[in-house]
Amino acid sequence: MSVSSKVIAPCQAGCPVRTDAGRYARLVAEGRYDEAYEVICRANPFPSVCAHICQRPCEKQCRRGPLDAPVGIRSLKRFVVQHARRPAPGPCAPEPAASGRVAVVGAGPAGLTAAYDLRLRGHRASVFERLDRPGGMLNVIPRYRLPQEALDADVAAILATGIELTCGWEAGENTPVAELLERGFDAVVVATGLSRSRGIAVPGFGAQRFTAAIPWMADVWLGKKVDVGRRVAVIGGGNVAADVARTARRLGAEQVALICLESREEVPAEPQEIALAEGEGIRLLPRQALKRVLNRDGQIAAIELMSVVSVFDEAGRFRPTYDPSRIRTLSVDMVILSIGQAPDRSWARGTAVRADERGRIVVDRETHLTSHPRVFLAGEALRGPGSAIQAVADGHRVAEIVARFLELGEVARPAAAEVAPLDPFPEDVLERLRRLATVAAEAEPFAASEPSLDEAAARREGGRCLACLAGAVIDETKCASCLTCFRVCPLDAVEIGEAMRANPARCQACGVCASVCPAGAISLACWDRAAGEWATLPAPASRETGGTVAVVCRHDGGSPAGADEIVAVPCLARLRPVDVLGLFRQGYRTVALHPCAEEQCKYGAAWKNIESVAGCASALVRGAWPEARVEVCLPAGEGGPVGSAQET
Amino acid sequence: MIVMKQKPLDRILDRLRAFRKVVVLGCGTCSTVCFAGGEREVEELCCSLQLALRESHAEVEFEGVTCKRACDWEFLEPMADSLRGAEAILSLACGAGTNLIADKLPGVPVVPGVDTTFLGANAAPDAWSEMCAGCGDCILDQTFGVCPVARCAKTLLNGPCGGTKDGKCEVNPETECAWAKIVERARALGRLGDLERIVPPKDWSSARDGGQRTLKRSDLGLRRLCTEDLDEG
Repeated sequence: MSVSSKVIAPCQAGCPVRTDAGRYARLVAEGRYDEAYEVICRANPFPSVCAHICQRPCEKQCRRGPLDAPVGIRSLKRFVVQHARRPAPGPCAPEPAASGRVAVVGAGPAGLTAAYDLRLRGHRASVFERLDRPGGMLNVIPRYRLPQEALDADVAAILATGIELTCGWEAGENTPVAELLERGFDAVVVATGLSRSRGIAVPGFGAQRFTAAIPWMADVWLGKKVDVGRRVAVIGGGNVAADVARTARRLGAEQVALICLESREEVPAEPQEIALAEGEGIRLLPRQALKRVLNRDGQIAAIELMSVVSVFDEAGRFRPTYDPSRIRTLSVDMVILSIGQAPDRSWARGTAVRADERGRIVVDRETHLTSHPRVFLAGEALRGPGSAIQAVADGHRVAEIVARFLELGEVARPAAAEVAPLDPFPEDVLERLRRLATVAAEAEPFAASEPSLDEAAARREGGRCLACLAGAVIDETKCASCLTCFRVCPLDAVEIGEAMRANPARCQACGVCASVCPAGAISLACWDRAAGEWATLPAPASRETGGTVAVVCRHDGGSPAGADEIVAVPCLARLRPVDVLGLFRQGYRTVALHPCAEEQCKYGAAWKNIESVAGCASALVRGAWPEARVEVCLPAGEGGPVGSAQET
Repeated sequence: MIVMKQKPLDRILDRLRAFRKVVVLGCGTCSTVCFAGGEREVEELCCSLQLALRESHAEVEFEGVTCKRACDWEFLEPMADSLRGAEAILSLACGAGTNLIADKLPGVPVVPGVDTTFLGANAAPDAWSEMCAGCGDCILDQTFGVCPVARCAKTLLNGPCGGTKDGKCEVNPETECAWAKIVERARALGRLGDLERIVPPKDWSSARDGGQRTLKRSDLGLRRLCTEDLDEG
């Protein structure tokens, strides 16, 4: 059966858990941080963790990228988790009568997400963790990238839903997973991740100063005493290798070399991770393979490196070739291998869970089900290495399947919701946006340790969102086909067909069409006019004198002095003259419109519409209440003194 | 399209002073398109009227409704109860719609809120120009697609007159001289000679001076077959 794809914003399509990033970016722009936090948490129980270490697949998809730079979504997320008032964590809904008991093995992002979702569905979830604390591999991410309090905050909120946690419990031959089933758990979800570092067939591996990355990093970041050399070679080119190198540097290593098979262009670590490492004095030695380790007096003295000719074959498969004639020696006293992780499959021993001839667990990758009818596999243990947010996504998937299993007794493939990202901007729209979108790109530099945004910067950054799929919606039943929207749209987003239609691939949600539509047929998906703040605006204190109400741009309209009341709207260009009249109806005698500064406005053409609306409203009210005034107040630097009033 | 213009607020207010419950009726067709009386203007007018009466201590209720097309009763019928319950209807429909409303609701005073001005075409997002006078005997083929009946101040059939100057009309220098345009187009088509023929006086019997004009299209055979056949039976 074919399922038609639902078109969604590219940032959302790029996110493994489909976080509606555009929506929270726009909420930040409007200063609505609590609601932004809620949007984030709807899809992701690890908001604080992802605010620091997410690899931002959303930003890579952002349609603003080709215009100047993508919206700094992760920075916005970090701002939100730091500024929103979080709801107090607490137990969730009571258990339904038919609730099941689930054991989750592994308290990493996949396992905790699965437990969290199952708990929210009313099932009982117990998590068993090998380490002495929850978080899994998140615990070995350097604290300078992921602060302990961020991890603690997310884990605490997850556990507070009523999840039972047992630490120091290692699934293995002595405490087999089968035992959990015997203890009355209806299902077991194994999410043990990739906890083993891959080794290498080089003599001497395993000695104190010739070690693997993960156990060494675990010792560092779990507070154990660790040994670090003076001259350290880190073998590997991934993000973990970069973390290891930077950690070694911080622990006092004087020289750290990052040695990888790949060329600088091919290196799998994020470019910014390499840049940061190099910025800290770490040397990248690309296209080098570890040949052997040279010892002197029982200590590592140097390593021999062999030049790499190529890493991948013509078909793109990993098949490195070497040039044995080109050998170099590097003087080091410690070697840390970071060449990938492997799953620890000891949990399956002694159970009915089958493995193939290579020791890999036999599992249906879609249903997560192993050969045991009640044991499910999830996270990196199933999918291989990936990002934290991919693990969270897998946690959601397995929870859905297990919940269905508990509730209906069946294991079914999930009905995949087919989604497709909104098309990129047509080139002519990009060209117009370059002229119209006067807001200077304050693109966050791609830095892992980027500074947190202050409030003004966060609101500006959120305002850079181009509102994909959040723009004009034309109600065919009301549309009079007058063509006004078609004629005023600065981006030619309105198309004439059997009915008028706003093309979401072009629309920017500036709202000018909605403001001028004579039939009231156009609404904006990102703004509910009926819920405007003026609906709850108090009447002015004195009906005799009226008073002043200031309508400010929520993005950057400031807080004008002298107004009795302030109403904020996301972009004044969306106002209709009757919206202004409504404020006079409330009893205010002066309505002061405070648009944002033109260079801040992401809708460069919107300004003219604000003047038009003010002119229309002014003409309308003149006949009804001659003393009433509409003022357009120019922001500083707009050709007049601050707050100067321009009566229309 | 029928082009309309809203009456000034004070004129509307004058006509409504006696009433305490007024339905402001908009029309979703021509009146909406020319920004005279669609949903937007209905809302604005309700608001302006209430503002204007705020000092009078008069409790006047204004209810705004907009129908799809006021010159067809079927679109008004769903709101007929509301219209009948009003002390007055302020109609923002064109004269055709306003007449129909008054015909159908003889018990309710109907006040026009717009002036119906002309049959026109859109010249700019906020501008319309008269193009047709509805004379009932179209001669556009003889005048190169420019109607002198609607667009010449003197309705000349043999022009231009001596008042044409630089393509503009002496009556209003903003107005284009229709005959200058006719000549220009004839020249462009190499048919200036056509204009040497004197056009005889036009037969105005089809124009509006003979009272209300009607149009009946019996040839279409449009009727509700079942019920009418039953009635006849």
